Amino acid sequence: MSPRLFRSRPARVVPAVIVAIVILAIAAALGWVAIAAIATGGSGDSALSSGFSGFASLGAMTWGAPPVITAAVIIALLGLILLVIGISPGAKRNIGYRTEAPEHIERFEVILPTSALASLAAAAADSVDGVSSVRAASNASSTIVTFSTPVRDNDGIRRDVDAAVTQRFASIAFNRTPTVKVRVQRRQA
Amino acid sequence: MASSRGGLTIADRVIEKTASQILKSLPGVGGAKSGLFGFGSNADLDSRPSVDVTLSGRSCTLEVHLGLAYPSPITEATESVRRRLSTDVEALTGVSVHQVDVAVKWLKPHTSGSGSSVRHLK
Amino acid sequence: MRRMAAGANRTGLIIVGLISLGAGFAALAISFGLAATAAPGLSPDAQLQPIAAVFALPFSAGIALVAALILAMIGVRWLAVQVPRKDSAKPLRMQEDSRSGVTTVTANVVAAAVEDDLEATPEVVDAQAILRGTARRPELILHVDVDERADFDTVVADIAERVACNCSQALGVPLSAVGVEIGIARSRQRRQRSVQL
Repeated sequence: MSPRLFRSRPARVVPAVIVAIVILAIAAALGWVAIAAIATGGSGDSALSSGFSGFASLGAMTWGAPPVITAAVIIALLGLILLVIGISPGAKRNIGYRTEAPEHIERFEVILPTSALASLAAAAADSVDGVSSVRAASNASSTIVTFSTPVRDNDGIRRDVDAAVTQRFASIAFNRTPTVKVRVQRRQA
Repeated sequence: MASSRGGLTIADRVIEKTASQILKSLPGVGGAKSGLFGFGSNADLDSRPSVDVTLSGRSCTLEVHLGLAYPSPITEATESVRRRLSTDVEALTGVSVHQVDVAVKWLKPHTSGSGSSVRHLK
Repeated sequence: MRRMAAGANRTGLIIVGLISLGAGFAALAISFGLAATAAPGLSPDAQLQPIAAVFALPFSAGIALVAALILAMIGVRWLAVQVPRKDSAKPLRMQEDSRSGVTTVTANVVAAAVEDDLEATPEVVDAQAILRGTARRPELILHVDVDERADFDTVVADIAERVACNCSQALGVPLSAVGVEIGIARSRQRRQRSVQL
């Protein structure tokens, strides 16, 4: 299968950066202890324990001791979290747009990122009379629009906003038009 | 016979100047007078075609940097530049052209009509 | 638009996750006596002394230093691949016969021309283009920011028919793929400064 033109799932950059930094920290600590051990030992065949006195107290603990169990639980949990983050695909970040490939293009793909959906929804809602501020968030299947209005009886405005956003989405040839949910945040004028 | 009357030495600078002149006269090539200065009044030195000549024996190799009109077909345009340079340089200087390497440095749309001024609406 | 190290990140996270989960799980098994039947030395009352003894072996400092260097290289390399890559095509060779000379066009030259062409599309405020693939099978990756009230059909049609067609004509071959990512321009962020009449 040929590779897709656009990546539709998250690249897991933030978890990767965190884990990479932790690896660097472990490397730094290990290197520090090793250099200290070689320095105190004075020769190349020093033992690691001469650089760090904690190893002795580590050896005194038993497997059933609470600190060991706690550490094991934390390590196992972190491992599980990383595993899930690595395996689970994550939220789709693009939505497809219906197109037809013209003659001089073999493969034609048009997408909108979900951030664009939110901007479109917010702009459509903003054009409704009575809306004082808008916030919108969207994933590939549904968009949530939250607006505030000084009007007390705001059912009509909520319906107008819903209609405006729905109409804007309907005017765009999405592969699958996202559903629209509208919420009001009542605010004093 | 010509050889008994003395030889003729052509310096590489002469070939460079000849090639530059030929290039400047070609339409659709950056630097020509046919109005490719649509990118405004800033005379960008990189936009003039440059030629570098390497002589070896009785022939020469040309290395040309130029810009082309967009979207004219690049392969066809550069082939015609290559053919023109090969024949004209040999005809004018007597030195045969072994190879012409072309590097296309920019592609800009051809402005409509030569010498049209660009009015800026602020 | 630019390529990220999604595959490497997920692989790395899975590997580290498995190691961590395995180590934690093994320690918990020993702590709760589940390993006592398999290996008599691993009961909850046994001390961690055998592990601490490893750190007291001769040359363990040297080995630890090498391990630290390897870990550091892994960490740095993993951070380095997070930088988004353009992955443009290598310079295109467009001559008919290389014996009479080579014609070279860099991917950025073509991409710049396509960007200028895109910005001539009405309702497109800003555009970026990347040319990938080869001279014979070129791929265009485009990102355009359009006005929030733009007519998407018109914009897409203009890109497909005019912009892509121009690029195909310049390169002399049909485009093997064109990808367009449409974003919404932040309000009043216009790049166009003048109009040619």
